[in-house]
Amino acid sequence: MATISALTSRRNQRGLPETGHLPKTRSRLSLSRIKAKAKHLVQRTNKKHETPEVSRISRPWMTSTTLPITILTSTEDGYPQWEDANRQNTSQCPLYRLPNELMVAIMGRLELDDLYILHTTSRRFMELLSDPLFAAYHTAAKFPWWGIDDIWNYNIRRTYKSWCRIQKSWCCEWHCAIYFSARQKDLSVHDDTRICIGREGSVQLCSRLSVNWAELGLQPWGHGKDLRRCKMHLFDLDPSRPVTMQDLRRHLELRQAHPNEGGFALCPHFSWGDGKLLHAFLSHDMTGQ
Amino acid sequence: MAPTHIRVKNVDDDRDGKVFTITYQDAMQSGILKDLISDFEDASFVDTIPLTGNISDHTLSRIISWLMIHSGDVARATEQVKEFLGNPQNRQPPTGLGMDEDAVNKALSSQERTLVAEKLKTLTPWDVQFFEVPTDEVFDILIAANYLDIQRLVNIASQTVANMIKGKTTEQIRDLFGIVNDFTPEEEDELRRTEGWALPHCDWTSEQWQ
Repeated sequence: MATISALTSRRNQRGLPETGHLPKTRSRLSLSRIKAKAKHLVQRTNKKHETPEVSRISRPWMTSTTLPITILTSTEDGYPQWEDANRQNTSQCPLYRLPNELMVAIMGRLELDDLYILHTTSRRFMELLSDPLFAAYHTAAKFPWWGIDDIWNYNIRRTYKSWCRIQKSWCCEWHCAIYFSARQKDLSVHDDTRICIGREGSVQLCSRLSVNWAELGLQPWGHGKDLRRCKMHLFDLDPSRPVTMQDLRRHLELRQAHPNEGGFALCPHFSWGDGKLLHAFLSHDMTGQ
Repeated sequence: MAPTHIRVKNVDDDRDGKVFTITYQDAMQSGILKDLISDFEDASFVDTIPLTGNISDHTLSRIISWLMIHSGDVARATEQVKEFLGNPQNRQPPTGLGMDEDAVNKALSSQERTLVAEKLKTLTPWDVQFFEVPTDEVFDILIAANYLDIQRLVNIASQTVANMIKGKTTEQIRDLFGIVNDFTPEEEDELRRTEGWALPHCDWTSEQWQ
């Protein structure tokens, strides 16, 4: 290295003071030792930023300067399509050039919504974001006063879901901002009527009745918050013959006696006061007569 | 005695790049330059410091211009904060009454440190203009700043990249950075299933909605 192998005499040429004031150990430095040290320093700095040879062999597309184009574009050599896409990302996408620690530093500056979007863009970010260590890092960045144990518990028990305690929903859970519609976001955080999108819409049960989530919990045939647990009246009817009002009354009484038995379903909003005959219909076919 | 000017040479594998001259004060902001200078000070004859970070000349010149602008920042911020704290009303907590001198000094220095850190975080219009360059160049600067260990520049650059990502949809991010969709079919299925509802590690989706 030409720049390093200068001689001590240069010091005098540049008009710098003699080294007499330096401690004794300095004067014992011989020229060869100085050279060796400088060489070692340069080697060390070179070594720090060198990729190991093994990784180049296993991932040939990583050497972007000498990238053979055939590897990039060929799909006939048995590589699946996503692997080609992965290679293309590695060689072309500027975000992929960043080392992981820089990527994590950038992601630490993003809110949860943006992180979620980023996690759907490509594989690398999904892997980075799925790493529990990143969760710990992100939590640590948000709550720097927490200890390690706190972070651990927080991530194990309630993970990404409850990080952003921005808004409280009707279902008494904490959701992040994407779970609220624009109209609901305008409401105050302390407003009790605020609901998340899961609770905002309504469910059409039959042609006559649609309920929202709040009403669903109040219905006699549905309880709790979950539609899956909602129960409707079921009748054991024979679909091959017409149903009379007498049949219905009998089956209603039976149903009250044995509420948990399955069978054919009938919409509870049919009126049978007009004396018409009804046909039974299957429970999965709610458009029946 | 510290030299007033440092010459930095961009050294690649096989060719020598440009030689830049920067002041000692500017160079001290970079961690790696600081180390190298203190190492080479022992040898005391080296007039050019080689940099082997695979940085292009253009990027290095831009970074040096950033260093020149920001070299006096820490001193200036400290001075301003000291002036600000010279007024006892601004001290937090107010000094006096039952506090010994050490405790007062300790509180003051910690407050000073936080105030200086806050002052250094604010972006000047010059900084904003500095990053009004093509996306690739921002990444060049970020990587080079990381190599040179200039913590403030890394912070600003990564904030710039984060601002690029903020508030965009998946497709917009892919367009901006040239990302190709490289999910396997199974992963895509899983993403589509959980879209809008789930985040990774989210345990309640599988329980209630499947």
